[in-house]
Amino acid sequence: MPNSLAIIGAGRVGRALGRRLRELGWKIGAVVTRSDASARRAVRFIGAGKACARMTRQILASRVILIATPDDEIAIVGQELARIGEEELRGKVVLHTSGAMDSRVLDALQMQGATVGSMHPLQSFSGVAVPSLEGKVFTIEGETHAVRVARQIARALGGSPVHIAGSKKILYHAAAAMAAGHVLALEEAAMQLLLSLGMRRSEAVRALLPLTRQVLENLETLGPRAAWTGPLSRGDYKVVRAHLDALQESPEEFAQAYDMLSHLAARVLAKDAAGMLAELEKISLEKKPKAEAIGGQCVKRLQIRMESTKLANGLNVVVAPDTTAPVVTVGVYYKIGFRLEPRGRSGFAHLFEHMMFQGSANAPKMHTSSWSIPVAAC
Amino acid sequence: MLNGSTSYDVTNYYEAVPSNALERVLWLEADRMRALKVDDENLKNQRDVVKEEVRVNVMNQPYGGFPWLDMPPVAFRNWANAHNFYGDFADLDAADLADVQSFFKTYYVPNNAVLLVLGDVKAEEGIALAKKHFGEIPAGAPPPFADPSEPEQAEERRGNVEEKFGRLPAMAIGYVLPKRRTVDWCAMALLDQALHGGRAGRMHRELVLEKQIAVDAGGGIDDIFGYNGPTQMTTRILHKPEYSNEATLQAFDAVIREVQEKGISADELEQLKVKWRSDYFATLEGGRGGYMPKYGLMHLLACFTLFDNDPQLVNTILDGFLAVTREEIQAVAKKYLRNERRAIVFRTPVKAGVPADAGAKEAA
Repeated sequence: MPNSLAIIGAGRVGRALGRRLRELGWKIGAVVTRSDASARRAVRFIGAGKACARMTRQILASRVILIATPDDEIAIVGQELARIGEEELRGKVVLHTSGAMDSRVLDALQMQGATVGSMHPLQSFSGVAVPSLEGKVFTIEGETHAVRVARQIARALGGSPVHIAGSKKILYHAAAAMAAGHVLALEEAAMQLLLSLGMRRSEAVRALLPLTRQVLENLETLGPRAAWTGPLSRGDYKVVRAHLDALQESPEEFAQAYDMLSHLAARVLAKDAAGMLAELEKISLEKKPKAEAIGGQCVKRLQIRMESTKLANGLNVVVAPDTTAPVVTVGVYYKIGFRLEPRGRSGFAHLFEHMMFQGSANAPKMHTSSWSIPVAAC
Repeated sequence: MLNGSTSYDVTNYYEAVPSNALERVLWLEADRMRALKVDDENLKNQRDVVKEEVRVNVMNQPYGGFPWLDMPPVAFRNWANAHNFYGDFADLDAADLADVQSFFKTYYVPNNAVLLVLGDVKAEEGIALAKKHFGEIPAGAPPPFADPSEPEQAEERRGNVEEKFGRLPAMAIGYVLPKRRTVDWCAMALLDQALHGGRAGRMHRELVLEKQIAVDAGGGIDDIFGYNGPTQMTTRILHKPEYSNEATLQAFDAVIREVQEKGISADELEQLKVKWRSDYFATLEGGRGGYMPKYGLMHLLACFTLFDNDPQLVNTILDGFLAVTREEIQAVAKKYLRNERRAIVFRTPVKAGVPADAGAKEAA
């Protein structure tokens, strides 16, 4: 049976690949997950297979073994499989689906004679049950035979296999993170700016998403330089400066990201990258927290973190977190001192301070000082 | 660790505890902001405690209260600034429970206070706990604020206080500071550093090391951020009895005149800024009374909140000081260090310290 597949780890990726391959006529063998219930659910979803709640020799009945567990578990699963498979692994193909790791993580299996590789479908699996894999890039690396099998699977799924060097896989993964999660963060940050102006979310989405879509389409059809729009693309540094000023009201990451992304745009999009970077550097220096040159050294401004608020009854509250030591300091300051004590009552502000240690409604005198003893002991 | 202290414009209560005791301390502080439970016996007892404090710290101490209690009545005309802050015994005796409760109702209201929580606590958690424990305390009427401003001073003011124990004559010369958070105020702070910056300060160098008139010459602006009314830069000099007060004062004036006429060099300014900044950081890091973590930061956050309504100043206030120029320092020296803006208190020993055969010398 040339096209038989065992799946270890049936999360979104494992289940989706299993189901599509089953539809394409692959024979699904063992489906291994953490519990009976989840294994049975996975088998129901895939439409075939033998549910297993632990690593079992039944895995060895298939020719191709797919490890679709979280990254942290791939090496452990590989070692466990090597232990139970031993000689029988000879001739098997073991592929994992991690985007960040390469096939070296499966060394233990290779030593038993299996051919190892990795196959990462470049596709977000969140949100939909079985995403269409048509035309999607499958990034593939590993031993020759494993690469051949992975390529065959990718093609069968309608995908487009791309081979890279194992040692560069993490960089590939960083690129994917920038194009997915980081683009999302950027889009959401822009949304939040509009929300802060009083727009509703639906309005913000209508305002920004078409803009982003259009730019992405232009990127595909016209290329990066022609798709580039905005003040920086026109070299309008005045507006860039004004944007940064306006962003000072927002959490500091907003202005920082804007500044860094302008630099990045200059680097990857500008014709005269060096010239534009030099201009941007001038602006960043202006906007940075003021640094003073003292004795020839640049000194960073203090940045003590704090939150402050005023309660409804007018009490000011300032909290300055610092978790270096498990100690907390509490202070209450009243805006009253010697200057305001009543005439004929000189010394009263200080005398009164003493009275504040004489007991309050629920804490009798000396309670205020004696409580420190049991606390110190705990 | 817990304590409290009273100063010119604020009174504070503070404690440092293991972080698991935070809520207990907040409960306690809220309880005494809500209601004070005192009786005549407490009051009588604490009146005696305060009097004893005065006897120990002032009346029976060499140079006790010098110059912090001696200077105000000489320098100022507004009772708010000029009276005896430790209290006349007659006034302390006159204080009764009604005074205590009315003072509490007037000034110890949440809308006249700031709560500070520093250290091992998350910001949102700290704010939530503050709301939980203090949120229900009713606001009071806005407290009356006696105007502490002084009438314009047009003449040098002098006073004399007897020194019962010490044998060396002492004097304190105080100049009223420029208004808080102005360019002049920042320049004055650096000028203060130039004059009183420890052993490198001009006063010590000139009067103690060079001319050897004084055995000690120092002082300056104390707790510059902690005031919200008239205050002074005060030089304290303890001088050898063979130099007269006037001779000593002449030597002091020469130091002032020099900075007025020649200003300070670029090198000196740079050093002053480094020192000022490092002192500021030391203040922030500083504890109090042995070990009171974060006292300095707490104090500045409180003052910037109560006086300026902006605790963030703690991060930015240095900018103004670091931007001061040589010209600005010379200008404030000329404008503020004038005789008609100063007050001098002489602390004159009752027991003369000069051997009978030593003649009075004139300053070199």
